[in-house]
Amino acid sequence: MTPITAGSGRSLTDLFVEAAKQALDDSGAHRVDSIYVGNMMSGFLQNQEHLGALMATALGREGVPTYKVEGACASGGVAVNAAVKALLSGFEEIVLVGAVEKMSGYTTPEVTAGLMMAEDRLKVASTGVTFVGLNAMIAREYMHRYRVTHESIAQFPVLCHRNALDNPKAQFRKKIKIQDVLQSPLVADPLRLLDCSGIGDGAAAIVLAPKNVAKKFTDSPVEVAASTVASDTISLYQRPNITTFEASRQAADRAYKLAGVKPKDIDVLEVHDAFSILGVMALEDLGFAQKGSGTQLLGDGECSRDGRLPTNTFGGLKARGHPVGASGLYQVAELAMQLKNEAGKCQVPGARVGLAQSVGGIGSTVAIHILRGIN
Amino acid sequence: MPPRLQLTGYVCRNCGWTDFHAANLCPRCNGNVKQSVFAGKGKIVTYTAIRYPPKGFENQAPYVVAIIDIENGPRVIGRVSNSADEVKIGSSVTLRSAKEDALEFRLSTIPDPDTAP
Repeated sequence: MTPITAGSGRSLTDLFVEAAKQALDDSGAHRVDSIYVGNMMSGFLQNQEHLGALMATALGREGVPTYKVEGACASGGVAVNAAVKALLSGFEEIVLVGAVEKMSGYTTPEVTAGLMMAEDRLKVASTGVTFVGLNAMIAREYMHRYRVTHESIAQFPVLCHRNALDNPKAQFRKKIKIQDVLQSPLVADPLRLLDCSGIGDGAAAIVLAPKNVAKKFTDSPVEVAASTVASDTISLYQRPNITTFEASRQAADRAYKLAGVKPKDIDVLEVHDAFSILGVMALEDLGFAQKGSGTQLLGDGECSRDGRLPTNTFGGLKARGHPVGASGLYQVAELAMQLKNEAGKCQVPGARVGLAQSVGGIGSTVAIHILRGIN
Repeated sequence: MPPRLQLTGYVCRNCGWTDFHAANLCPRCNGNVKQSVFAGKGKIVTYTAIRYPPKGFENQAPYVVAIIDIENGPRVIGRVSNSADEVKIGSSVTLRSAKEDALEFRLSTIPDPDTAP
């Protein structure tokens, strides 16, 4: 994976090739049978589509089948899911999955309009609402319904910024306090600047293969114990309850069953905290806390790296950075590093099972991965 | 008083599902959907004020967007043309315009300067 930065001027191809070459070198794989590319906004921001052929060309791998996978901010997670299914088909043995997003170099209104492509254009984007605004409406309803304070929710970005201090590839390596969140400028009431992930560029990549093939290349492969995707209505207003993401619950329920594990078995967790409220909701929707009580886990320190449920151990979307279509793959790659005991200063000692949640749009697509170390 | 603006929406003939977004088939039961009209009033479920707008809305910020439950009708999203400090969860709102797919409401309790005598 590349460091996440803003303003470097690096191209989509440049970012993708760095991450892909690193993944191929690390894996020791001598060939690639197909390439999956996760991305959300290249058509809108860079006027560039056909990323499959673009990246195959840049890697000197033209000839193999290539696929661009788009699921809004869950594009990276959905790309992994598509690649897993390709392996299960038996047609392909060694698959490169990469994801890339370039968001810097554009005005905030341009990027904001691009992100709104993940909601319904006719009835929702036409109001002028933004993605921060949609999440702000969730936050307001959540705080009202469960009597939870903004101060409690602000613990989530504080946790992420703390963890990112130890991640050399993180975009925001700066410690923050709850008061910093509450005093940062309003973006969409009640959400403030430090409740929100930023704008950044980055790419991540992994190599997937069946277990018997992977064992030829490495002594410490990581097993994809479950890979699931679920969908929900495209629009937030179409749901009777907006304080839970039904797609998260459904994808997670199926993933736990497929992997044969329960929430209590998860040693390390990566959730899609594009906004502080989403981090808290994820703890509940994924089965770690009752509805309305997610912030208690934060207050008790359980989500810290030395707690019972180490969460967003590299800084999460908030502080590691959120190059939208690539974030889902950063999460999976970070979990793999944890399970291979290669996470450096971010390492959770003895981590064996990890879960990553990648959310597209306003919970309209959710990808869940459960990974297991098999060394 | 001018006649109250009504909201056009869609209702499933079979299960009663309703939305203000056009649908060919009911997404819940695949039943037939018919066009219907609802009272142009409802209550605010939740809301926000947009301070950093997307391209095309730059000159309008800040503005309030809310999710609204229409009386005996669908849940919708729309603008509320009051300031954020006037709006509350549960506030009653009245439909003011429905142009280019974006609904615009106004708090029922505060006189509308555009239609007040």
